[in-house]
Amino acid sequence: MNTERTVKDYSTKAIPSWCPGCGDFGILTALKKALVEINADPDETLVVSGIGCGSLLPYWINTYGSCTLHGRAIPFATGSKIANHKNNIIVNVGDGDGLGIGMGHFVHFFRRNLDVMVICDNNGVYGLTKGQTSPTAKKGTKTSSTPFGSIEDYVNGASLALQMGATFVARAYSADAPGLTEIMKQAMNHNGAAFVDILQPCVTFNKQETYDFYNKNIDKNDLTAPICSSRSEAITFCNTPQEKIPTGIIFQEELPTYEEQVPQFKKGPLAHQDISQIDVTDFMERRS
Amino acid sequence: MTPKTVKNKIHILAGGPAGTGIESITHSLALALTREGLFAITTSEYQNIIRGGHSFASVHVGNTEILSHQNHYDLMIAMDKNSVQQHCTEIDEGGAIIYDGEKINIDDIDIPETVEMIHVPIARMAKESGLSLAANVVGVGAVFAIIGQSPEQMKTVLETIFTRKGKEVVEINHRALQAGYDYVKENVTHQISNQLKGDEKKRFLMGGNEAIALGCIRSGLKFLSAYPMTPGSTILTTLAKESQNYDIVVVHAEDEISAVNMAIGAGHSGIRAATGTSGGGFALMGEAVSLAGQIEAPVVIFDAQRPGPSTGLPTRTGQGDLRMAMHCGQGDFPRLVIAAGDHQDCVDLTGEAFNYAEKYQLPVIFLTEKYIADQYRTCEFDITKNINIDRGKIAPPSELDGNFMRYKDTPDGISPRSVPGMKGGRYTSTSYEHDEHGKPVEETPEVKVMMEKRWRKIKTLEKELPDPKVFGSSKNKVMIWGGTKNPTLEAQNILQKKGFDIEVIQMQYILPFKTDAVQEILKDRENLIMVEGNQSGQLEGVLTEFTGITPDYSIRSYYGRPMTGEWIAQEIEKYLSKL
Ligand SMILES: Cc1ncc(C[n+]2csc(CCOP(=O)(O)OP(=O)(O)O)c2C)c(N)n1
Ligand code: SF4
Ligand SMILES: [Mg+2]
Repeated sequence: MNTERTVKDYSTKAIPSWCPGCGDFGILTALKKALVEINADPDETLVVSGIGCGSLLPYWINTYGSCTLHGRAIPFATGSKIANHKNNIIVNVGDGDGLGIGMGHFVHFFRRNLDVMVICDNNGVYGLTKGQTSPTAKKGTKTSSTPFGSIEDYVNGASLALQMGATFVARAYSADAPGLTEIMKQAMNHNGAAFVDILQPCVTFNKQETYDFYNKNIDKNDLTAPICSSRSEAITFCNTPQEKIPTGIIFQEELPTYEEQVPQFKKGPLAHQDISQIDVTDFMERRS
Repeated sequence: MTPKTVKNKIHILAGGPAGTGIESITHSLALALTREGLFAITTSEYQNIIRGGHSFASVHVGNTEILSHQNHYDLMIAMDKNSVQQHCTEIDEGGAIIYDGEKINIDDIDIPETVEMIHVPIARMAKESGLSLAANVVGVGAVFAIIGQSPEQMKTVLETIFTRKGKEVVEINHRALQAGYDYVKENVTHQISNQLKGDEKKRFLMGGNEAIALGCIRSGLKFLSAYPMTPGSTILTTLAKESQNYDIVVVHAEDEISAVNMAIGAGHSGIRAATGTSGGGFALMGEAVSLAGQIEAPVVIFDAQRPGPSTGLPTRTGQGDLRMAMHCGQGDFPRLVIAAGDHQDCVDLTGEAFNYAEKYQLPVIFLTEKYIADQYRTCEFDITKNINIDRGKIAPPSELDGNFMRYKDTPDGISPRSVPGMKGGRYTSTSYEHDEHGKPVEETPEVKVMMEKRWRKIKTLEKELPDPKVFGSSKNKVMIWGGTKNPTLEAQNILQKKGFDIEVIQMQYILPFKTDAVQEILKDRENLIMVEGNQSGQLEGVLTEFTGITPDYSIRSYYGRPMTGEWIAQEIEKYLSKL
């Protein structure tokens, strides 16, 4: 069935329950379009999310999906990828999900370089729990959990992913449909662990980073080549305050993936390997 | 001193500071004697340090299977003075202690007159053989001479251990062994005579966690993710070593939360997956256990228990995690809790654990404890038979139409599954409550359907689970779980000789609880005694909760040291003789 697919092939009848105007709509639309562009088989695609507003996305895309636990999408997806590395696996985390409760998994994930795309709906708040401060919110942010302004400095997901070895790192804006689609397409085509930080307006709880704010403050880079040509340059680029927020492909490099380094995959996906007859003579001989 | 005559068993202790090869003394002795066709078990007690302190390990050998270790010995190798001081009173009358008189001054130690002190210049002979580190091997040579066994099998064991380090190392160790042996033959008259005679049948010497690894390999495990924690770590390290031989991917995860979620993701996606840990790591997994229950993903979690609370006693044994295994995770959902009693259980029940996990699509918590996990035992597994592998209900392609009902309401509660990659089988699994398609729901009727569908699996599973194992027949019932099994069976033998009969009931499957079967077994009881390795009587509470039965007497050990058959017999006798 390698005929042309359309967005309809990835669409569900159910309508997303996000607040009208929520940036998550743009992410869902772009993801479906990107899947069309890479002609992904919906039956060989799995979208894994954590818990949060954005993490509801798997309900509204007609592929395999798993809404797991808050913060645990990455390990769940890792296990799933290892079970069948031929599947196209997309991890959808929130900023609280991926960079708060799940940060331990986030950083270690990029050390492994599995061929999986991680996208982060970065809205600066905990949307689903009614707008508390998220780890990506700037110092001084006032919300119900930091009524006097947050004291902690913010986390820069892109910089962190680069530090940990991500082989494709990009930043996108949920309202830039063509840009986001193109970035996701390249991220999925990339052979290795990709991270896409998506600036996503939360119209209900984030009154600072609004569409207006982003429309004025985004510096869109050309997507034909990465902005930086080395990892160290990319890290410095991410850590240097810019006048405007850059979007685009920050850095990309080809390194051996986890899957390529595990000889156990040579006989095909583990899920397809026969387990009905296993000869343990060897194991026993070493213990007699 | 008249040398001790032992019948057909011998109990040997090795003691010294950590890092002096105490465990390799008992392990190599056990392996050599297993090759001879004898039966051995080992125990080890070490402090939670890498060098120094005091460690001791024992090996117990017999012509037939050894059920329990004991805390008094026929022979000891003391690698330092401290060991002589601490253990000289544990040597039976006519027994002996091998020590290095050129290194250790024993004049100021109050050694019982019934103990023979045998000087062997261990350190000097090791040095003369070419390696000071081979001191423990000299000691082993001396042991063979004193117990009247030929050191030939021991030479083959040294070859097995040292071949990868080169021929020269093997030769040094052979020299060290022979030196210890010859020294005793020439200079020592004291012998510990015995009737040990191997039948030369081929058997295996295996640790409890190795037996679990074997069970995993035979069951077709494809993925293990774990984070090290004593005494569970050797499940990880054993399987890591075997991973390329058996096409198993092993991940040393960043923490236990990751480990269990990876295993669940893998199980959900169609392979047999597990994680292994100890209580502290398992405590971190609760939320994920509930996730597996909710999305109906198969996963097996091994918890090698050690005593808590908290970091507790890292290198000691205990049975304090039963309640956590039964109750961790939010909400009500089906799970299976299994407790292995010995190495055979570690192999067999691991096989069953994977079958039940996939057949019932639920988390299986598999409890062992340090006593089993670390114990080497001569085993007689039949590996020629293929084991039964049941992958459960997989939806046939005809049902996979792109609108698959993954959580179909069925009479037995089990819904056929699809896994990512299967044509037309796509659905979204979710930790939220959901309907038969996996779509989130909140309305009462739909929630009720799913809660009750899942719960029905418990009833179906309870029917399929084997009844508790019963050993012997008596109105004096003794109920146990986990590694207390063999020591309690030893107690049964001891008590029989004293005129007391007991029936031993081993609970292998604890949740779902086999209420009817347990009530039936206990129907004709006059006395019910519980033996447990925890303070609160965890199984005892469970028994009462499900059957209304309260035991007449409770024997509990919660100090971190394994119970011996002799101690259990003594405690049971105290109770029975008062009646
Ligand atoms: C273990 C755990 N802690 C807390 C929660 C409650 N919770 C649900 S979503 C969420 C935060 C969501 O924020 P984010 O990940 O940024 O996603 P968003 O809703 O903003 O898209 C929290 C704290 C939970 N579900 N599980
Ligand atoms: S609360 Fe914010 S993030 Fe959540 S759905 Fe509404 S707009 Fe979107
Ligand atoms: Mg958020």
